[in-house]
Amino acid sequence: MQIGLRLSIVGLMIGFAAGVARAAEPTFVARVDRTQVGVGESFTLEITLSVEGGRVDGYRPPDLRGFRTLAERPSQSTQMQMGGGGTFVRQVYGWHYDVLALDRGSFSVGPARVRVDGRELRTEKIAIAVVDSAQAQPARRPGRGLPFGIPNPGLPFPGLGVDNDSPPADTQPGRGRRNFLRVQTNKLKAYVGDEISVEWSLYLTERQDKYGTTAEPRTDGFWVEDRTPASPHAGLSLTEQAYEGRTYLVAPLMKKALFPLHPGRLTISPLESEISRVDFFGATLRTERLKTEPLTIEVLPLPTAGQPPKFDTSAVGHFTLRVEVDRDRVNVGEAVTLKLAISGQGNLRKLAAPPLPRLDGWKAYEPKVSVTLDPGERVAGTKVVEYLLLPERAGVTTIPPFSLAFFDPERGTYGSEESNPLRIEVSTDGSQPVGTRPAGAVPGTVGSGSSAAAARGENVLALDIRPPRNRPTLRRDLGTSFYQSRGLLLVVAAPPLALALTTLLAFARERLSKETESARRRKLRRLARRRLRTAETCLREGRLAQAFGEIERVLREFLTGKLGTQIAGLSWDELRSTLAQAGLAPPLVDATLAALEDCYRARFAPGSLAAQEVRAVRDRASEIILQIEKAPLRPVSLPEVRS
Amino acid sequence: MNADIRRAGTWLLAGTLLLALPAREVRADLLDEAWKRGNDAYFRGDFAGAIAAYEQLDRQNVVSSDLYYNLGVAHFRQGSLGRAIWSFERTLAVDPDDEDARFNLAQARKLAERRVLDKIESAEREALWIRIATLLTASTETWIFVGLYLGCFVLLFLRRRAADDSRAALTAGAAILGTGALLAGVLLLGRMNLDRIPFGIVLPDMVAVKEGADAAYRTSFEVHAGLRVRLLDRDQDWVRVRLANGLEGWLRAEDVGRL
Repeated sequence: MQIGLRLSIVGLMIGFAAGVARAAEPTFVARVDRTQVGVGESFTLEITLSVEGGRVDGYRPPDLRGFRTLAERPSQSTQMQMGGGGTFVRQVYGWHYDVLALDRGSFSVGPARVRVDGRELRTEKIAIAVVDSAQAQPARRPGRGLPFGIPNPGLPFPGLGVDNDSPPADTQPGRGRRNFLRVQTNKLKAYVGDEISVEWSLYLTERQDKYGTTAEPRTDGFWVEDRTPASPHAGLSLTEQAYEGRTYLVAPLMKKALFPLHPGRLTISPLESEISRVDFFGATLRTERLKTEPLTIEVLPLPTAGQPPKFDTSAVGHFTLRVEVDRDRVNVGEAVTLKLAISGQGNLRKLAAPPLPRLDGWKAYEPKVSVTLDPGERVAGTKVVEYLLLPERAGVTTIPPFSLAFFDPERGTYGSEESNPLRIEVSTDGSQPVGTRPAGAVPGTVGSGSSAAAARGENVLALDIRPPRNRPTLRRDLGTSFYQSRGLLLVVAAPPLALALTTLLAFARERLSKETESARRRKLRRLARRRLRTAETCLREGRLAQAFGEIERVLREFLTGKLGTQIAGLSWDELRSTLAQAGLAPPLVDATLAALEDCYRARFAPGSLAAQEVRAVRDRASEIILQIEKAPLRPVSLPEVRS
Repeated sequence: MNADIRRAGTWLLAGTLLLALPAREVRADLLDEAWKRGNDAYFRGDFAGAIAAYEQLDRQNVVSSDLYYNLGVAHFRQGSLGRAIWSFERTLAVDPDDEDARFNLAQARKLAERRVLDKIESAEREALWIRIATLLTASTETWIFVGLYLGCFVLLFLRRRAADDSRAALTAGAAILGTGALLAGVLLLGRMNLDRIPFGIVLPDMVAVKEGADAAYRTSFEVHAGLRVRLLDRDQDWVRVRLANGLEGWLRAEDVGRL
């Protein structure tokens, strides 16, 4: 027993000493999950550094010439070991690479390097044989149903339906360390209606001051659901990430879920952007234009085998269907809300909900549709369609089951969901309490339409609106039409304008009607012209006495008008005195009196005068009138003259 | 001369009234034909056809409470509660005493609220001047104003030719009518001002109100069919709306029926 105990202690001590010796030596190894891969397939390269204490720096990734790095994930962990000599702490550094084989042939993964306390460690070089896809060996990945990178044999199309852990397809060519845009998609081949996730990211070697998108990618032929995560702050959110063995500042730009609308090769055009650096004052120092490659997706038609008739091509994914009413016992005229909820993963917005069948005795209104999408990698959520139903008569109604057919792209088969039938009882007497019992689980029976009310012969009038008007002619509201027309402005403007115009006209008329000096002159002139024309007529017709009469009248009327007093009945002396007092020049007075005397004489002795004399008198009278017209006369009064 | 002035004044007034008739008057028989077509379609059960005929009349700027009412009934039958509410509101704007429209509007609102009720918290009461300006209909206010205004001027015309002993009475009459016309004119001006900041009704069952005039902007809140909003601004196909509690956002113009 004692010998055994001693042996055990010695063994433990030897083991511990060996362990300590092993722990003290850092290990730096590279492993791949397989050494033979198919063209276009990926393999995993894991590099692990295990070290107890010491300074670790200068890691240099392996040379992956001939391959493309799809993803790189560094990691670090601490392992503690407690034992006989105390506690040992081991740091484990890991670098995980997802690598894509591009071409057929023999390639090698070069050694990775790292320095531990100044000593450089190197991994072994690993040979990789890249063969045709069919000959490739499965990856050594424990705990997985299918080897990494191998198409799911259960799927109708090899390579379709890449599983969640698979690396995203990347259309970017290999590049050196520089700024670039990167577009990644989870699949390059999909069915019509199947979801494709596409993400655009910006990779920067150093911080930039400005970023702007100059051309958005066009996604013709796809139904697009924007899945860009909301940024907590304005501007780009940069994180440090490794890509192809180099460290970049990476900003996610946008993420979209695309649902192909038709089969064929659909291309997503490049995203184009500009980045620039600015100086302290905001002036641009350097601008760089970046652009992704176009992304082409091969879209396959949905299988025709097993496809339900009139299949909605947006029903691709996994869905469940739930139908319920808010109450199953109502009175006539009380509305019932029928809620149809489709939950699952797929293009819920475009997915057409099963139609509501025609329900006798019910009025259905336009459904209210709402879609709620869950946050997450895939487009999933719930689409709710709410119908408002109004019973118009009593009875029992059964709403038949709703059915939704869909295509499951992962299984490659068609499936369907069907709801339970719903039974709703409508009564007429208003005695039905508002039903709170969910009716979704109520087993359905075919409604007979019979009711107690009908049996009693009641005429139930449901809630409704009043009917339309059926007048033979359209009655129009002229008042509002008039109010909306420019006629109102005219009505407002016209009366004051008319009033102002008539006032103006009346004023003008009043002004014109006043006996002013000039008006009197004009009147006298008109009168004189008329008399002289009459005298001329009489002269032509040989009526000489009348001609003299007219000439005398014109002289007298003119003098009366000019003097402002009647001169009829005045003697020759009185007339002379009057004309003198009025300020008429004495020669003109004499001439006037002479003309008047000639006329007077001729009137009473018409045979003693010849026509030439009449003309001479007429001409003199005209001359006298002209001179008197020009002469400034002052008005005189007859009493003044006579005195 | 007096007779000439009277004639001129009469012609001026007659010309004014003729010019005042609405411009581009559409032939009444064509309107009646579309009206009959709409009614026939409705009673055949073709609600979409009825709506098309009624909307044809509406596009010709026909103002008729009957037209808006029938349009509302057809939309209701079609299941478009938002448009039905909008049409009944328009009916009542033209004729507030229309009992049928009031009844149908209440029914439509009741059904709309069964789906979702937009409860506007801290809703402000409409301003006093808005309540005063909308005491009467636009039509009534227009006729009252035109009657008083023209009456005032007729008395002023008569006063010019009247004997001295009746001038005082005519002056007093013109002053009373003028004061009435002034008050009616203020009401009408208030309504015109109100028309510059019009109201609208949300038409779709549910619509997202955006922070800017583009679908890409963030959604501020959601509103539902039948909600009354004030229209503040327009930017191409978008209108800026304000709720009764002051919340604002942008909607597509086609989603709001202007009252």
